[in-house]
Amino acid sequence: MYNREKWKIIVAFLAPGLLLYSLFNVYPSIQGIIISLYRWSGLSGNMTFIGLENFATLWREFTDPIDFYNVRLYLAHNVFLFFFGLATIVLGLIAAAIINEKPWGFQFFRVTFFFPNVLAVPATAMLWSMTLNPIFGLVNTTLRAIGLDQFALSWLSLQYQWPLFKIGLYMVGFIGIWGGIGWFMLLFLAAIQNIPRELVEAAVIDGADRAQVFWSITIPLIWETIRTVLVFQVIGALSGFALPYVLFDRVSQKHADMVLSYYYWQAFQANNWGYAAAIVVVIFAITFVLTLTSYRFLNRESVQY
Amino acid sequence: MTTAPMTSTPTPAPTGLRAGLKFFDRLGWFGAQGMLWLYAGTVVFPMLWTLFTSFKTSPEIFNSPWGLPAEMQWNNYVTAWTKMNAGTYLLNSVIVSAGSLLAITVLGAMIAYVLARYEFPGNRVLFFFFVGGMMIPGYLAYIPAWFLHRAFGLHDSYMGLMVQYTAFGLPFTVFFLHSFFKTLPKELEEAAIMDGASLFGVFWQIMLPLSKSGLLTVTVFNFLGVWNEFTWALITVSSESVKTLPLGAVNIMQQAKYATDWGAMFAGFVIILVPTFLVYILFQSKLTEGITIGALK
Repeated sequence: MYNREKWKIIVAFLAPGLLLYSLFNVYPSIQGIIISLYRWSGLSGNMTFIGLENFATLWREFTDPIDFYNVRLYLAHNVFLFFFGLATIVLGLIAAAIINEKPWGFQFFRVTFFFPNVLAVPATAMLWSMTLNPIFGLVNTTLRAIGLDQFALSWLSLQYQWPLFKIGLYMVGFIGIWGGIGWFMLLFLAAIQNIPRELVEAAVIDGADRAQVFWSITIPLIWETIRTVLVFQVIGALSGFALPYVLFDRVSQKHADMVLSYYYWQAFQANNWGYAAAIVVVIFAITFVLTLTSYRFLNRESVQY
Repeated sequence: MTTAPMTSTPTPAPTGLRAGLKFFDRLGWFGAQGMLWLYAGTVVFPMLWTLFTSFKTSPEIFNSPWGLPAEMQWNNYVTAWTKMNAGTYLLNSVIVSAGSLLAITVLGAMIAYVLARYEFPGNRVLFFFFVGGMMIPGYLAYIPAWFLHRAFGLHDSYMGLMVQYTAFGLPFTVFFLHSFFKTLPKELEEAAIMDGASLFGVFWQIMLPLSKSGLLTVTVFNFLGVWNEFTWALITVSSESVKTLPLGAVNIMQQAKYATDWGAMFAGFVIILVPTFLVYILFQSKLTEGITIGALK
């Protein structure tokens, strides 16, 4: 009797979620890999098995880029923005180390710093496209007010060249930093607060200053968290898409697109389903390999206390 | 909250402890604090500026971008709400988020509960089947899911968004609630069954009420994901009547290019920002908790 009731509960509780999850998440994910082996475009269901041909085409586009399908340039954008991501981690760590010492207004910092992280990407983009508006934006009007007219640039331009890339792509990076610091700050703060207080106190009594405490105690003891966020950054490195998409234009933008934008364009604008699937399979594979390697590479002996 | 962990020791500090913080150390300390204020400024000022600007007329925005509005243009909000569809986007977001969150939480709690509290063959396999979904990026599923939604007539509808958000949201929810249900004491269950409660009654009347805080944390966490979701909505939704706030933000920005009514556009931005702001202020601690746990899983 008890056993039958138990099985009833198990089946009744698992079935609906299992069905939904399998049908709309697991099945499409597997299917997404399978269709990369097919030639399939347009809205018809005509699929032809072509093995790895899509991947060969992608490799050709990578090694011999044509102007409009410049996969190599898109990848360069991803790599460029990855460095902004690393900067975000460093800044988040510094912010956490400072806030941990509870300077005046630290609770205000905690609340304000995290806020950009809860904004949707389009909301962030819209806030900054207004703030950076060349004519009435907060940034340029401030610059003009203090007499720095020559620095009042057209910030979101994809024509104006800065070193290596257009100024607009730099802004994508800066907005990314702006939106990400709080998250890292929060994670690092949680980790730092787990450090036993006696350790720090002992070091201070022995004459260590803030910098020494930071390098010799804080960093080694929160290494686990540092590694986790670095791996996160690696996972996210190839998945950027929305910010430049919203910030610039909905049509493909050669000077701001990233690899995932190219996937989006091939899939949902050009309807080259098979080829687009091949692009994400490669993105997924590279991400997977990079994640494992970076995890290994960063796997220092963790410090016990 | 005045104790600074580094400098306040219970035993009297030896002389030179504070003096040991050299001049440059101190200079760096003030510089570092200055940087924090600067960053806080980049968060606060654009928001305030957007708020003030939303009450101005278009000429005012161009002629005195810094000034306070001469007269509050409440009309901007009427225009944004009706002509720019901000009201529709807001309503759509509320409907889609409410439906998705209800489905994710109910289904997720049921799955997590059974997997955490019942022993049966295949339990571990099923757990990894669900939790493994956290490692699979959504973009892998987009194309087949798009065709699936068309086949079921779900595309471009509230139902389509809710179904997909639930499917994407379940892995983390199951993972989170599973560890939560695991910690609840077994005696409670046994005592309730002795008292004649049914197994469903144990779940509904004992386990769920005990898990309130976990359920709230995971719901707030999922709220952010669903409320802010952009890519899947962009792919499947084309009707104005279904568009959620993130898509609406893009629409309003598009209009900006040909806009003559900048004030209304800023009002639209405020309407988009306010709900997130309110949820953030109300659930700040729950939210940060959920995110910390989510990241360090």
